[in-house]
Amino acid sequence: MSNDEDTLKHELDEIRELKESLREELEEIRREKEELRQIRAESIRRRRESTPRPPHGRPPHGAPPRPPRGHSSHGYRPTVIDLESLAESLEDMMSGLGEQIRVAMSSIKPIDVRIRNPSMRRDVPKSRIKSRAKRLKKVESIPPDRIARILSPLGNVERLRILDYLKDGAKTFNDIESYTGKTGSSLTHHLSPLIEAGYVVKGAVRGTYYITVSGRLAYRLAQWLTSQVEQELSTIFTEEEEIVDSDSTTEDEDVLDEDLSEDDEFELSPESDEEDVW
Amino acid sequence: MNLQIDESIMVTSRSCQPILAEKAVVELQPGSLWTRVLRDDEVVGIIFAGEAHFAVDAIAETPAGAVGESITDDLEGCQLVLGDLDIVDASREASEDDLHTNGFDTAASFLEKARSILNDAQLRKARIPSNHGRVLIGHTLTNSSLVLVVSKDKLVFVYRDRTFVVTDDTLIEVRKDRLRVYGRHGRVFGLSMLGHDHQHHESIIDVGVPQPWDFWDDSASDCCPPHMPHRRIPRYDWHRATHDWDPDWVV
Repeated sequence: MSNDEDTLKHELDEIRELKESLREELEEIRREKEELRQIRAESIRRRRESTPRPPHGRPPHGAPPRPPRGHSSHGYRPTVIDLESLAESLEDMMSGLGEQIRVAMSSIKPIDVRIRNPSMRRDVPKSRIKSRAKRLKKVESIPPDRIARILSPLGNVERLRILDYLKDGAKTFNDIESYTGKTGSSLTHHLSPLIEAGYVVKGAVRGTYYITVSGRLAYRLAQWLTSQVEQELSTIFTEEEEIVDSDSTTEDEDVLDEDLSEDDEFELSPESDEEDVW
Repeated sequence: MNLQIDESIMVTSRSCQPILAEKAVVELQPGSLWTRVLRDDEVVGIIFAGEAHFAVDAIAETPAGAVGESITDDLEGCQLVLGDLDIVDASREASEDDLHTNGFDTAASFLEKARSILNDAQLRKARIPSNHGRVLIGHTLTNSSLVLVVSKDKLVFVYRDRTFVVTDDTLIEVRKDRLRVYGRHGRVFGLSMLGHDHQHHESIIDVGVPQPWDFWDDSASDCCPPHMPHRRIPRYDWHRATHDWDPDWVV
């Protein structure tokens, strides 16, 4: 029994010694920590004293850049990013993306409409759109015979020359004769359709011929139509030439020469180089 | 206005034109009777009866084109022309046969008809034109009254239910139910007037004549603001004022 008591006492003594040694170690750590804090504070104070602060708190020129917030030496916590897993997930996402883009592009039809002045299309009232659609429907429903009635008087170069001549002002029969080179009934043959169509009006007092508002409008729109069609044709032929050029690289030289000789028949109008009338 | 008829009756020996202006002509055929209209023994016009016809160009040239129409018709009965006329050289004294040919039994009957025409004109307060102007008051073959006032290149013409006022580049047309003014810049102002059978109502029926050429012709470049380069208006402007014209639809 006494042996057991002695053993217990001995163990208790050892525990006390351990406890004491731990307390001393803790005290020593605290001291070291306090000393380190004092040293750091002292170094910061010295640094601040050695570098004068700018008036607006900004570092002076030449000073090292201030580290970003949250990245200071005492608060810095590096973010760990798992790049490998991210790369894997990106690879999964990208796989088949090219194919998807190719399919989407193939489904988009080529846009043929040329949009002019897109700023003009803003805030178009619905009533205007409706009336425009109604008007377009009305225009599109014009039958060919009505169109022919308007266009047939213009379908002759002599009549168009007469209209062009009358644009400058009223002319007598003799004036028109000397301008066109047509005389008598030949000239009357051309003037009559223009008068019947209302494009020209004849003054009975002196036999003077005037171009009317309708005539002037018809002639101007005929000019516009010519310009547009010529432009369109020139565009088509240019595209055809480009296609021929691209195809010719795979064909024989003889075939290429033949194609080019055919295209040469369609000479581009000199007006095709002019500015767009719009 | 105290107008009188001269007692002497003349007849045209060849065709003559009591009115000949830029936009109007009245032609009298040979064998037509006529007598002078006097004011204080001064000749201020004639009254004639016989085969005659007139042509009036109620046409004005605007930058947008010509507007109006040319009107011709035959005259019937006695007509009054006021103005400084001179057709004596183309005339001789009328004989009994000339009177019969023109439908008058005696000289007195022609003079009586002439006086009635003159009184009618005085009731209308017709004035003697100055500066080589002419006034014609008469009737057509279709028994329509006619008034024509001509002064150089201007004229006022009342024919059937229409009235025209024409200058070189402006035309005013008045009809029973509407009024239209074609201005010198090719624009038209219209007024619809429904009266009589309908309730009195006035409304603007039309404004603007297509004038795309204003922006295309060099002559119209003066309207371009001076700050624009080369004093040119953008080309797409020319079609904007065009009626029923939609370039977008065309494209």
